[in-house]
Amino acid sequence: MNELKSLSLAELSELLAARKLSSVELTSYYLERSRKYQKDINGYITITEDLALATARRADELRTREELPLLAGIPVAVKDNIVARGAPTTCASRVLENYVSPFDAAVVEKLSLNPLLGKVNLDEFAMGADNKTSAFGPVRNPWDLQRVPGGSSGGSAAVVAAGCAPFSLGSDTGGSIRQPAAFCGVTGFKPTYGRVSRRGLVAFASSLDQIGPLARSIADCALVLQAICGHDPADATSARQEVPDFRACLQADVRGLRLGLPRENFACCDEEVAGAVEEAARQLELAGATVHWVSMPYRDEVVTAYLLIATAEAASNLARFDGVKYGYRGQGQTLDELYTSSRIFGATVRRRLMLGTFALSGEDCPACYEQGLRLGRAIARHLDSLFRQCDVLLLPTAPTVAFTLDGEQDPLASYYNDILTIPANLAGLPAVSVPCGLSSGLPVGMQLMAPRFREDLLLRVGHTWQCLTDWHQRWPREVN
Amino acid sequence: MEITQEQVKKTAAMAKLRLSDEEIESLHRLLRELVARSAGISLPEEEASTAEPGEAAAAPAPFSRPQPGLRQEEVVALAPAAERGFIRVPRVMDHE
Repeated sequence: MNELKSLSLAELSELLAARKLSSVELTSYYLERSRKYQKDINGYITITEDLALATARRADELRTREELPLLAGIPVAVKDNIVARGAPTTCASRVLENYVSPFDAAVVEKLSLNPLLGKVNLDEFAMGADNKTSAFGPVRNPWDLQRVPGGSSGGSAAVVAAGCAPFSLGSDTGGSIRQPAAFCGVTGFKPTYGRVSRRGLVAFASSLDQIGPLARSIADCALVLQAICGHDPADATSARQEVPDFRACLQADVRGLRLGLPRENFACCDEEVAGAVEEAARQLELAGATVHWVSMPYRDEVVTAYLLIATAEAASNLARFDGVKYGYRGQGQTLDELYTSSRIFGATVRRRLMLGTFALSGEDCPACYEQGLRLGRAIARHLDSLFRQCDVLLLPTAPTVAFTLDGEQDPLASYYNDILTIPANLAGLPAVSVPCGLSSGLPVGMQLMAPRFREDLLLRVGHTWQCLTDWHQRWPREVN
Repeated sequence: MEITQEQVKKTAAMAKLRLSDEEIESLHRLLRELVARSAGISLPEEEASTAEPGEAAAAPAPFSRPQPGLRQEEVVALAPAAERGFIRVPRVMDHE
């Protein structure tokens, strides 16, 4: 049974369809691994064993009567800011500690025959890039337990990296799927804004948030995307866009594709990180792609746009959480005092809510939401111009490998860690991180970015890369 | 533009957040830095199109289709306390 964790989703699907393996057996295997590594990794906030086994039994029973969708019966871990009926959704915050959702998110509905292993850990309200801001303790990186897994979908990445879940769902507002995928050596896919319904995702920054899969390979992500993409009339930002056959996109290679490498995005990275990604570009050139340098000169603009947009939208979205019903209920003589004493967010969330409230406060100053939108549009226009020179942008996912848990950074400086991932959110582009090497024994991620709704290009390049190399098949020492 | 500590306290009140003196001091510094940084950025010329990121992609439907809501018992089950099918709340006024 131990080799199950190394099988692809397509291989697991074949075993289930041929009834050589039941969903109950597969789910029990992953539940056992999840429990075994929980103490070391702290990947889950809640392990939902009963829900998982009930769904597994239902999938097995249905399979005796009818043919099921490709992914049916394969368990999934879901980030704890995506609601699932009957399971707690805490957003890693004391403010929502006791909230149990009465409905399923759209993506959970679409995966209704996938046993829910549990709700995985994240930075509080998805605000952070290291998973240290969770009210339920930090997640640890399976490659080195003294290091962060990245964030905010750190739990989603860590449980896949540790073989505790065959795939997971995360959300990406400024890199929150791709950066932890890079730090944990897994594949993390942020689809185009609007490609996947956000109904049931607890909103952080509504114009940037997007749900996507984390898995062990591009081929696995293609299967999950097929299952979760599509228009949802209940999400006004959901795109009325036909969903292509993502599996078929894996058939094409990179011959004839133009890959653009933004030179400034390499210059700001650790030498070994930049070197590993450049070497990957060379391999893809040998496989038939055309590779050339392009320019992405924006740096302060990227960080400032993100800060203003994300914090302003967060301040608006989180205004609804008073902490009175589902969290710690404070005391006060007036309703205002009651709310103020009950909104016990962590320091990072408080800081962002303050910046966002200020940006929305109508003060006559340059640090306002509108300025953020103007900057975001300028960056999106520049990216559009780059896609006239190339088909896919290729760059590092993060400037460094995973850093240690004990480090502290200046709040503004820490946003520069996300400088390579934020542009895709500002422009609503699809982007993916794939493993492309090791530096000091830790995974390095290569990021691919494409024009809106061109996930097919990312699947082509990413899958070609994973056919050429085995970086995505490596396991961390801690969990072998 | 100069940011004062009073503005920071006013912002905290609007955000309904209780902050320590150290937090107010540190946020004061942070806001001053953010304002200076934003003021220092010169924007490229805006083109005619002012579409929001994601807007063109989303092509939103004119109206959302009404979805069935929660049943009464599901709503009441979310409340900390309930009585005879109603949500029970703490008394906020003395009655005469």
